[in-house]
Amino acid sequence: MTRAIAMEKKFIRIYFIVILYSLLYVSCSKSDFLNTRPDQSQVVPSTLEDFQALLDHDNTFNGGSSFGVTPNIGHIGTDDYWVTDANFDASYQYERNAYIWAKEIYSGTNSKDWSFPYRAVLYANIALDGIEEIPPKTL
Amino acid sequence: MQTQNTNTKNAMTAGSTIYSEQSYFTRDAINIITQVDPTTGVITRPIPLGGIADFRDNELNSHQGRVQINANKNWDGERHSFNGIAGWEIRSNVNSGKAYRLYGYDEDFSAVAPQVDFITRFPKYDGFGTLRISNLANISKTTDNFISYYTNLLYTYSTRYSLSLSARKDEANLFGVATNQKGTPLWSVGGAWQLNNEPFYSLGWLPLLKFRLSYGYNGNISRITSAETVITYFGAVTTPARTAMLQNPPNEELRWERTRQLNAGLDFGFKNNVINGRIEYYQKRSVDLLAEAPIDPTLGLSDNNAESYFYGNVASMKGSGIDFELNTQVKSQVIGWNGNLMFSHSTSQITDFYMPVSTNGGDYLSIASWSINPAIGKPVFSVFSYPWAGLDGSNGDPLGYLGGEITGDYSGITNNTPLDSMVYHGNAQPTTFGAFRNTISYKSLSLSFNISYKYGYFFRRPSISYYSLLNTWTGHGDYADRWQQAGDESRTTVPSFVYPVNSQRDAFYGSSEILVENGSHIRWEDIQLSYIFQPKPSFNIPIEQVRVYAYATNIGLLWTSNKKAIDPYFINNPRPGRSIAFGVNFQF
Repeated sequence: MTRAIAMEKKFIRIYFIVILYSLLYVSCSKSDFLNTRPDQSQVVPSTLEDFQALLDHDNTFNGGSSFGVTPNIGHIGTDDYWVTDANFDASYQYERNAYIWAKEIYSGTNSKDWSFPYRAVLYANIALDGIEEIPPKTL
Repeated sequence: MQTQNTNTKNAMTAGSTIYSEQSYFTRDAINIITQVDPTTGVITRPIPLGGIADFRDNELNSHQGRVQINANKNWDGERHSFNGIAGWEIRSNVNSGKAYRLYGYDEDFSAVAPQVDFITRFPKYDGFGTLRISNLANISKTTDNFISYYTNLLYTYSTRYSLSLSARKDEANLFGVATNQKGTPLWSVGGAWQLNNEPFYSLGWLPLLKFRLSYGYNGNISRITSAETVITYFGAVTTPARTAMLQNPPNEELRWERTRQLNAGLDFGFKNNVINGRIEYYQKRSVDLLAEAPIDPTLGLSDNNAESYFYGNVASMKGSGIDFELNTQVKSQVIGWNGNLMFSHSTSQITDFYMPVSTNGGDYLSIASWSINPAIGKPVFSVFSYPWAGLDGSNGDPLGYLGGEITGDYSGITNNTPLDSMVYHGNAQPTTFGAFRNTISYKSLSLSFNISYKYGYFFRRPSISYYSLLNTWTGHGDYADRWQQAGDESRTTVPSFVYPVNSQRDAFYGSSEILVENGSHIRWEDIQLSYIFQPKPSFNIPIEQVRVYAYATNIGLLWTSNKKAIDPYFINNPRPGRSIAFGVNFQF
């Protein structure tokens, strides 16, 4: 009876050692396993190429009506051009307000002319902050 | 000790969409970019004649492994009893994909146009701008790796008193996160008192009575945002160069969402299990909730609609609720009935909001599952709207209130209505909900049906917006009910059609209280009729049992609180049709 218990205890000890070893082994390479990028196309910018690519993003810096830094609202109020009544009626509300120099131009709507240039500022700031971390190359 | 290791590799799953040369999609794509020489009249086609074919390939590699220890020990007869498991699990899923498009595709002759110019911007045939041929070539690869540690321990004394402990830590390859932040811990401690095992317990008609109490902690990290700046590489729009777009702005303060929850429950069962069930009460507090909150546009986080939101830890909340479940089982020789009733009631409220809050009522209009309305003391997802003063009898304009006066000054209403003056309707999610399932059997025939109910929540129904109608041809049936002449204001609430379009007028009407409806409803989920019989054993085929059934689902709503009978699940989409299925099950 006692020998059976002793054998059982020996087996339990062996099992525990095996488990400990396997856990240790895995925890060594665990950091690589958990550091794999979840999406191959995503990058934390750190090189000059990364920041240059950010500043080259044309949609943000120069894009058209849905994207970029084209604040034309000031130009609407100039006398560089005029529009027909039909075109005036069909324009967006803020465009009509800017054209006639109304007291309230935006009236609660979000203004792309103001918001989009700030996006370009954010990109530029990220690039400026980022290149400070890059040590200059010594020749 | 138990080990388990599975290794699966799925074969490539391909998909393709082929637009034939006769389809509108292909004809329009070819025509819009066709170039006609103004002097010679010669036609050139940058997108060649023929079909357009899109191909996608996907490969999923998935590995999984687990090591687990189980322990069971009883001491002193049945006085002390211990059950425990502890384990470690690892999982990895790698999904890689490719996609590409072929022009001039002719399936019959296996031909594809060899040279397509993806770079030149061609003038459009209708004269409104330029266009480039889409090159949809793309590769992608996503990797999800998980490591989990878990343990579950249960100690019972005298089969009456038990103490349990469970703990778990899940780690994943979250992007841009420090190593010690990759894991989320979860633990809970609980106790139970099995009253029916007490020596003094003598209620024969209630053989099961058990009290439970537990307290737990749970943490959650977001997989869609990270503390570091993340960019994605794309091709440029105007040149073939490689550019990068900001995917995630830096957020050093990103931290776990944390929840503490207290549960108290009672399980009961009557004699012969005729009726059994449970009642449960819970209370929870969460801090650092991850959600979207409006943020100052000068930070540069606007989206393409100039809406500026920040996704991060924004609020704390507390909530409580009760769950009630009742099962009945009545069986005789011939007739049987199984019933299952579930009832839940829960409420929540925001206790703190960390971002600067706007006092302008118009900033509280959004109802979305990812954005929290920063109204302290109100539910996490709340419904607000502008007060409605009817239609103007002279011109059909929608009217609201400004400073207590009835007005049509939409600009003033949008800019100057404080939160206190807005109409607060209630929760955007049901506060009371549940289901009622029944199975009735008569000899070999059985009928089962499931009814669900939701109560105590609100939604905003869509209506006509003249701005959308004239800009994107988006219409709505309410157009037929619009105000058209004096007197109509007593029979309708749909504003008149005006031109030029006044988008603030449309926005006020769209966000007014008149379009908010109560979402409470009772829904018939499904019904099934089945017949089981044992065929005669003399058949050659060794069939033990046959079951024939008819099953119907998406049957419809039994009752809605809103008068227009709008289904709150399908506010903007058409409802899926009823589906009926017939089938036969053979058991060999």
